[in-house]
Amino acid sequence: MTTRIVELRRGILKKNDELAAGLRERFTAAGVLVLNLVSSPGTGKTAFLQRTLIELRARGARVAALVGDLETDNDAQRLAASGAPVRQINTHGICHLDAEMIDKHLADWEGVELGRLDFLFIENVGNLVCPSSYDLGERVRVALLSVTEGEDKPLKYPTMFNSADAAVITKMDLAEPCSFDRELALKNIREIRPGIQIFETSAKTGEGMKAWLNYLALEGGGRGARLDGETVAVPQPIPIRRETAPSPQPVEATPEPEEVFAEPELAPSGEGFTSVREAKEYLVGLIDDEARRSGHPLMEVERKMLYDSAKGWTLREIDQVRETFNLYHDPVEYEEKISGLIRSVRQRARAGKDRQFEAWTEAVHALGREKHYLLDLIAAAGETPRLRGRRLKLWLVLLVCAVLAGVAIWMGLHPDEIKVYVPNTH
Amino acid sequence: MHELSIVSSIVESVTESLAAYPGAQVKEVRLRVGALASVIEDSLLFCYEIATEDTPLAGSKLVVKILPVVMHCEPCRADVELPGLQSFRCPQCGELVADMRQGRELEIDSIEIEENP
Repeated sequence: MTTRIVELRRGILKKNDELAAGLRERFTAAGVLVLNLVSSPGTGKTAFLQRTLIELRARGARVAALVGDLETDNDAQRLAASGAPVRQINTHGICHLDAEMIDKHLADWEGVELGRLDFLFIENVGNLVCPSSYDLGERVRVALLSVTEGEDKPLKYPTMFNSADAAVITKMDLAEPCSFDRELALKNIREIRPGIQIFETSAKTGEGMKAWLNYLALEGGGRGARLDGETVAVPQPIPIRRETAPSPQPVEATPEPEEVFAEPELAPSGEGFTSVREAKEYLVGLIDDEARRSGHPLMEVERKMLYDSAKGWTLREIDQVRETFNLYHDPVEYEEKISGLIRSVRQRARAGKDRQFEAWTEAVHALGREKHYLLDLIAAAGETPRLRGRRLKLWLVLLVCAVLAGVAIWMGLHPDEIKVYVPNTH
Repeated sequence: MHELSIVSSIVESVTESLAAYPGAQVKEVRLRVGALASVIEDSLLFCYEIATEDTPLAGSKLVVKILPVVMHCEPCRADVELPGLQSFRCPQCGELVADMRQGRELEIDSIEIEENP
């Protein structure tokens, strides 16, 4: 019997690492920026990603997403509402995604070719520990943290935060009710990962999304090195890439954000709209474009809700749209948002081109007396709140005058019935 | 949480290397694990016994060597060991440090085997 020590010096996850290195090479060759999103369960990865997909698509970028969960394809369904190709990976109990799963799901993903993508997002399983050990071939690892989780999360999970290239704070709209200590959170993240880029965002309000999209554009456009150390990113407009482009194009400078979105096609003025559908599509198109211009594009379900109708032409899948809408949206907020957009559209149409305003008016008329949700929304957007406020004041003054006049007339007609009470001094 | 998959990879890897030593028996498997590798020693040891059953590694001992995080501090021009994971600052000068030199290792260092001549 002889005892021998055999030096192995071999990475335990060597297989995964080698596969990941191969994937990374493929991604680089294809010109697609791959990002791996990691966080605890419930941080809001899906909502954040959904918004990101929508905004990138609105800017002409070609995007896709792989989403990992133990079970269900709920997240994939939510993300698919953005219109981007989405594929669910069910790990059936495994607490992380690995390179093999990515490789396998890319191989037989119908309709998705790496060479025709600008961005591929991988939403990892909600877990702040295990995914940090598994390289997926991504170029950017993004650690997310919501304001509801506590500012010390990075200190509790240093292995994950230290391995991240960027950090995203989500649910900033809840920062105040949660008494979120922003400074402390930023300090904690930087204490664990010095020099990291941090984005403070809200998928609900759109806060901070611009900075995030600019970062993506910078990283994806192949412009310059990674932003390490104290370097501050110079905000760059997002590159415009059209589906028809033969190959991914370098970042193009856009002088005016307004020009990103083409003017909607004008309806043939004078001849009017030949169908309710045509009119509806024209109006929805204008509202949708206005939302993009404002920097907060409508989500697919928000846009589709504009087609809702009790009677008259609507989308075939409207029942499903309504169901999704009721699940994730607040109708009051939605109506306020749409009202604002409608007012802007009308203002723009009025100020700019007569033909456009005419077309708008014609389209509204074309919807006629049928029951369309859009008509209610347009009616609700009637006037600006200030005007409405002024009119309300006028009504109040008139009402008071009328009451006073009525009392005076009544007193004149019935003088006997007026008895003045005199207190008895005896 | 993922220690069982890690241990399975160890079993696979060691079994492969044993091909060069037919009939050899594994006595010990030595790992080098960085403090930032997201692997817990106790969980590894716990999973090891279960995962090695009915394999050439059955009955062997797992020895885990935890490596501290070492960062390069530019102002000090030195590699410095971090005392903990709560702050990535140089313990000498207090500057934030981002350049890691050690801490994420997750590897099999060596195995001790017994051979019948």
